[in-house]
Amino acid sequence: MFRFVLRRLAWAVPTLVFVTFLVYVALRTGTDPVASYKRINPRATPAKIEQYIQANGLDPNYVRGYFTWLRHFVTLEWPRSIKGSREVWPQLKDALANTIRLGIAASTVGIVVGLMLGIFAALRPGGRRDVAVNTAAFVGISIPPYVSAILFQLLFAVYWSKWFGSTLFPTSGVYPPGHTGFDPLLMAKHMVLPTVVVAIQIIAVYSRYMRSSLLDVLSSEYMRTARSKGISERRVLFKHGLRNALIPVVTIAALDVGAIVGGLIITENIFSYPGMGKYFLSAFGEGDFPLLMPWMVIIVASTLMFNLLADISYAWLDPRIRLE
Amino acid sequence: MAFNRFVSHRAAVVSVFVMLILVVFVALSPLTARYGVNEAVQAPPNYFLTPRANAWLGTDDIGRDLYSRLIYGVRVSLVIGLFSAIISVVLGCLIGSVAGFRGGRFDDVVMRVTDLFLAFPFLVTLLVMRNVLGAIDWLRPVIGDISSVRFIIVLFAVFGWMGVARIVRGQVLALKEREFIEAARAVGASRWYIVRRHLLPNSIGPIMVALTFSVVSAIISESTLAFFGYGPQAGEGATSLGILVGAAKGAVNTGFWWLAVFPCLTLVMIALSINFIGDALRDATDPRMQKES
Amino acid sequence: MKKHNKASRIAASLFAISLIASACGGDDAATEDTTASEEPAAEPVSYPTLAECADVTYDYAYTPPASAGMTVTYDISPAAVWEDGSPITAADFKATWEAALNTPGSISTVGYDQIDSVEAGSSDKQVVVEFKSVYGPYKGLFSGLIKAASVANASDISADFADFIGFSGRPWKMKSWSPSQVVYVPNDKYWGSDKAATKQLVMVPLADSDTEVAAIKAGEVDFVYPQFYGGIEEAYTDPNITLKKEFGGDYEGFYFQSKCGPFANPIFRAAFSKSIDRDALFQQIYVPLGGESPLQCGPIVPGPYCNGDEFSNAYDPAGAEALLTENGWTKGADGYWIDPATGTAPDIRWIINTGNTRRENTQAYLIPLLNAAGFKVRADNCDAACYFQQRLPALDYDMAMYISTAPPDPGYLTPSFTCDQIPTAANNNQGQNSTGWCNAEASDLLHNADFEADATKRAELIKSALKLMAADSIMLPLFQFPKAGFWRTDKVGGPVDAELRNYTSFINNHLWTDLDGDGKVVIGAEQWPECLNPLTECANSSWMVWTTINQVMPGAFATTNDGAYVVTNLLTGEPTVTLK
Repeated sequence: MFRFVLRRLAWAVPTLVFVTFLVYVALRTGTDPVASYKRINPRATPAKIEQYIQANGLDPNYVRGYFTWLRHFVTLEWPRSIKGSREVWPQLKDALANTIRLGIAASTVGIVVGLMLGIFAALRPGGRRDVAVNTAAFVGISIPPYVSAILFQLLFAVYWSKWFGSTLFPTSGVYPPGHTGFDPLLMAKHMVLPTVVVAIQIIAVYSRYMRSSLLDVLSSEYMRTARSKGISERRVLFKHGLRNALIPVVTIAALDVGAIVGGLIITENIFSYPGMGKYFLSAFGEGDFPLLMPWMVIIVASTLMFNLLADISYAWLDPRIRLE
Repeated sequence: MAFNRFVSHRAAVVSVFVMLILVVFVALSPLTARYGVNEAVQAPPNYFLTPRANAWLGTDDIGRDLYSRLIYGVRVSLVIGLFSAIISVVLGCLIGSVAGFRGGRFDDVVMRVTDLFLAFPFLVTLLVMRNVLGAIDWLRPVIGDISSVRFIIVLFAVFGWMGVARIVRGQVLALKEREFIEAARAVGASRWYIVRRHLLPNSIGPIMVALTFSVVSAIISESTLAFFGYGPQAGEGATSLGILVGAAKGAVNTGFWWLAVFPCLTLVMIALSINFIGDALRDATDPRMQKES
Repeated sequence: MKKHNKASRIAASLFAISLIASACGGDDAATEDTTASEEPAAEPVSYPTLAECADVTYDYAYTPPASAGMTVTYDISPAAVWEDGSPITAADFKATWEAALNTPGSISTVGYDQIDSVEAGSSDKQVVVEFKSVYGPYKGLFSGLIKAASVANASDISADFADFIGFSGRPWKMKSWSPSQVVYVPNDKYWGSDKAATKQLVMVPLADSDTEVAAIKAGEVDFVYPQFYGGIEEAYTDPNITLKKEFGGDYEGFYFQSKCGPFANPIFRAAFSKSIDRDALFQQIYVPLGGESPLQCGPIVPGPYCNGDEFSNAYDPAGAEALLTENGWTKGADGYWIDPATGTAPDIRWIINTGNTRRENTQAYLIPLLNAAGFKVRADNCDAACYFQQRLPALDYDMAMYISTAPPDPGYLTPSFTCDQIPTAANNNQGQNSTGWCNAEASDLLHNADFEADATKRAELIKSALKLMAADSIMLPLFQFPKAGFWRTDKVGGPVDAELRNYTSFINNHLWTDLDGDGKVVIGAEQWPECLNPLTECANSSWMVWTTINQVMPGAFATTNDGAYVVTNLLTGEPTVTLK
């Protein structure tokens, strides 16, 4: 097991380098970082432009340029943003922290509720509650996050205060404007709506996964054997059924991080939540290469990491899989 | 058999009717739409009218009828959905069947590219690739300007084939081992013949399912792009569902609820209907289900 | 496992190669712009086509009036001091001039480059400024003084004031600034009688218009100053929120590019311009934005420099038809006017930036009407960067629509509308006249206005130039945008509504009073500066100027709500101007 993990880790590094190279090429082709720089800083002197090109590794030769960029990145000599020449890490750090908080909240709520609904539905396949859960899940899948976000905003920002005279949930930001210091209660209140929007997607997906996975397990041979041995239905379900049904779901959970991050990006923007998604879309809109590259590295690295986790957890949970 | 099972999926039957009505409305759009796409319902003041007799779903900021614009918008969105889905299904079938049939290195490469793209946040990939494709000058005469409907169709097709290829490849791998293929091989049938006569007909169920889901994902993707201002520029004569949903964002605080609610509901209704149809198709053509019933 | 990773590397490299190939492939595909007919004109009068645009030249040269220069003498108030009690002196004027002129990347060299010297006069409190020639807009200079003692090297302050401006010669002084808020406290050394009325002034960034609405409704901010949009008054409906709408310096217009292409022909341009029903357009597009009547001045807002009727009665469809018919134009089978010189209907490219709802709406409304009137207009839009940075400066359009902000001084008209500023080979294509309008008489008028020290005479010169502009159908003014302040009547009092259309908006915020007892007035800012340097690109945003420079930097002149200049209490009176 240990060697297996080590080997996968060793492969992750070259993969990371390679994928970031692709991203580097794609961003240079698609956003033209030098033109963006000149657009945002129309009075920049040739010396400044040259310095920007050097710092960002924007060599006409993509391979050489990439390695210049990589060297600066690894030695933490990160170039400053195009707009306002600000340091990148402080912004990125805040955005990352906000997104991780929102992501954890939404996935926890989403996965727990989703799994419970899936189990609930699978216990009586074809019954009324199964149909209800299944239909609700379909509706959830068919609602893009921005649609639910808009409808929530309409409800809470406009109509709630109109009908009840007070705002229940704020519809933007992490804190009220001008707030300083840390206040978990206020923060939690601001996170409710974005969390719900992202969680709806996750619930819809996981309730279906869990339902079909559990149905598969419950109808399998060894469950029938267990039942025939006279073990109680409840014990069958919790002792054998759930554990086996969770194996594919856990794997999918780790692989699904891309989809969750995608939902976060969209949701954050609508709720003006200062996370990775808002960071990305504003940096992308400006063509701000120094801001975009570290963001991409984090996203690529986390995607690879969760892929790795999926493999490991799969191997660990399913004793039938032999390592090596 | 399969048809009976499809019909037993009640939600899907309702969805088929909903989509049929929608398609008829859209196809007959000059008749069913009450006004032109850019026509005001009345002389100013005509902006932000609530739903009323001469504007069933209200009007927008320059007095255009939301109901008529929804019909024109759905038309553009359905075109984007259908065309990009068809292209991606054709591409996906070709690549998937070749990958499944030949296996080996080609298979590895295709599946790894697919994994890579599907693991990344979709919107990010879409936006970055949109810029990359748009920056390639020599492609422009073929795929059109970055904000054209044609470009969007190509962009979605470039992504869409991957999911389909994965499904088709799985089918091919499974079917490859079945007896009738072995038999055809034994009598010396060419590979292409086997693909054409046996593999594709036997995969038609999953391919149809993939097609329906491709349509949904293209329609939703179009709306997502348009929502964030990267959507198609349908030209002065048209609009799209995404553009209308995107305008909903601005209508939230002002309390012009009709501008937010109706486009959003239309989008959800279309997505839900096609999803139900796809689900029923999957149930109807799933060989495992065949055994049980 | 190993096998898969190998495969993924191959896949990835294939992908990379295709990307590189596509990136390099752009070079050999030259896209030719051949939208216009290139047939030689049969008629004696021919106008440059799009293809000939680069070869157009103008033989206009301006000769400035002979002048030995001008001296302006400012007398600084003996009471005027900085926040630490040190007197404001001629040295501060000199430092401001040096910094504005020499700092790398300075965006405010205009005018300061006309100055020969800035020296102390009879005392430290008297400043003698020698100009190279007569400089009409001198009142706009020294509007934000830099404290000489606060900078190490006045010739390069680009590295100073990155995130704090410590000095002040205004009622407030900055206590702290961060990307999330700026806090001002009263400057107890301020010499004027208009001392700060509350203990604190806080400004916070509000990310977008939705946040702005939510923040003031929730009482998190006391005052916001948003861009006007359709439905904004509905959005801010609340018993505690009131608004005042005034018309400020922002105006929108149509511009017709006349250097080359269809509008190089003045007859066609005039007929086209006469065919646009601005009143109907105004009812449809601008009334929802709070509009009352169309702007008639030209590329300037009402005030001392326009009569207010320059462009009225521009709509004349019958006149347009007659004009074209008289000059041999006929309508083709498809209903479009055909140019007798080329035998084709001119293709008119109307450009706007994509994503701007108001402009897209205008196209949606107007294009069908113009097509029906016989003009082959089509939308030819691109994103904001492409529109403002490429197509407009390169004159690569026929009709454009954009918004501009008029400063109180009309000097901005000269670079935008004179012959010598049309981008040509002669000025390395760096000219700022993006309409391509060349009228020698108007160019002389505008240039002369810059050399005219007498305000009344200057206004007459500008008005005459605007009349020529209207006669040449070079643009159509549409709308002077409202500026609206929204504030909580339960939280802030005093003259909140007094300076809302001032170029230096809400400059009087030190007089606002705190009503809810929290000891502060909170202003929500629609945009937030990235850095605070008052001279470099940082200062290229109205919100940066409003939230920082205006609060602490004293000036010789201030602008009033009516767009005029008045002497501030920094000086003892009007400076004396002597022409040499």
